[in-house]
Amino acid sequence: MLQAYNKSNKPIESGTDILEDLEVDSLSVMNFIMKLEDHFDISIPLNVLSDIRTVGDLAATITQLKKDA
Amino acid sequence: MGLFDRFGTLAQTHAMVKTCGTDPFSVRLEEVLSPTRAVVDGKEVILAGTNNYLGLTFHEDCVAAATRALEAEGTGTTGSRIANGSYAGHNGLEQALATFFGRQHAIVFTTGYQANLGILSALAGPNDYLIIDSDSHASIYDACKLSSATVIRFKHNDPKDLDKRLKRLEKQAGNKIIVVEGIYSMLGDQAPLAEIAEVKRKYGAYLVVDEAHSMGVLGNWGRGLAEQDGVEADVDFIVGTFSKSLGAIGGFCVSDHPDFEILRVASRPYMFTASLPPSIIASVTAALSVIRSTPGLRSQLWLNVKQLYDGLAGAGFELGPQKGPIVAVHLPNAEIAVQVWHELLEAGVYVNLALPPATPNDVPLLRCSVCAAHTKDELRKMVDLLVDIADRYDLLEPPAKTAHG
Repeated sequence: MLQAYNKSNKPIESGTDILEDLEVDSLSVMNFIMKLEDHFDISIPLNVLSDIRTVGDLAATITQLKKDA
Repeated sequence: MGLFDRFGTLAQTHAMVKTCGTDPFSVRLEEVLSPTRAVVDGKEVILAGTNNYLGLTFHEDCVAAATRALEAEGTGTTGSRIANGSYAGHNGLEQALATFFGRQHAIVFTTGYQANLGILSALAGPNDYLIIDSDSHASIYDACKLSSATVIRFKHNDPKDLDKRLKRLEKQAGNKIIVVEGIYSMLGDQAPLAEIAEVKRKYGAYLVVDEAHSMGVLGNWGRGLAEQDGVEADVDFIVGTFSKSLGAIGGFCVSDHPDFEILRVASRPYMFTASLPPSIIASVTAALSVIRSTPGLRSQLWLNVKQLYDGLAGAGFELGPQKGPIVAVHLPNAEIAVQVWHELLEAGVYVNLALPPATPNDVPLLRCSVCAAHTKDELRKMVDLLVDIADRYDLLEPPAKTAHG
């Protein structure tokens, strides 16, 4: 899903920084998050979102939220 | 890394914006002549970027009340109400607001920004949920940061998405507090409040409506969107401001919640700020009476809205989705928006320039605010000038040009 926002076509790994490495702007990030929320049927709280930097962080957050649901 | 290095992108954008010749974020009104006229750069301009929807800033009752209070009680209170005490006017205005909205309780804050900070941060505790519209004003986002609650955004004006998000929280014990706005400040669209109220009832959530831009504008009595949509009973807290229709500065919240008064010793943005000066309290109290006694102001505002919105829409401009006192002209990119804004000011009309990321969907906007005191001629001039400038930048579809001309 993130590939659609990966304009510079860099490899996406768990250590990839979403904002810096992929140069995704903040609006695109918000749209991407909303898509993820629909896909996984979760809400990612804003206060959790601010701690997410890498693809790995994001995956761990989603796994945790799915487990809590 | 330098202190301000992280503002690099912001500094670049600001530099770009200033290349038009005027800094849109530092416009100087050398002389303010009326609610709709001022002198900028030595030239008289029409003010259409003021949020002064009812034009009460020069209303004789408001000015007279403020002058009397200034002379009788001095320039300021020099402290907070919990430390320095309340003046009779503070309590009087709270009583007047409670009566205006038909509520048991009212509390006054020093700014509208602080009203959201003070209410949302106090309502939502660590185990609670603030569920906010994604197009919320900065003061609502900042209030969320100040609160210890979990903050969840739902898609702008989408009750179905709100429903989904509340459903996901069904098993969680904390209070759920939905926050929406009567009129959204950038595009001027209204919340679908009846549907949102339905979702609120379904899940037993609380509902906060920020009527900053809709008080005095919507509803037969000017009580805002909740009144217009007939759902006042579902709205647990109404937040608002004195700096738009009421023509001054300050903020408030009204509610029927039985424990509301605890906020006076629990809400930090209320407790640790100097209270509003007597002159402001007096002018706002007078403005509230004017709104109640002069419904004609509201009808005039809506006639003016219709003239500007229909005029611009008819000429082919893309505008916000709903008619209202905020008329948001969409422009293709920030550079053109800055140029058009600047040319409009040079031609004698001041509007707000709103650029991404402060705008929804990253669309650059010329944000015009309509005033009841605008004349037909002024509104016509605004449309004509905008069409003229847009034509030079080739922004309008050819058939629309023909239709206009």
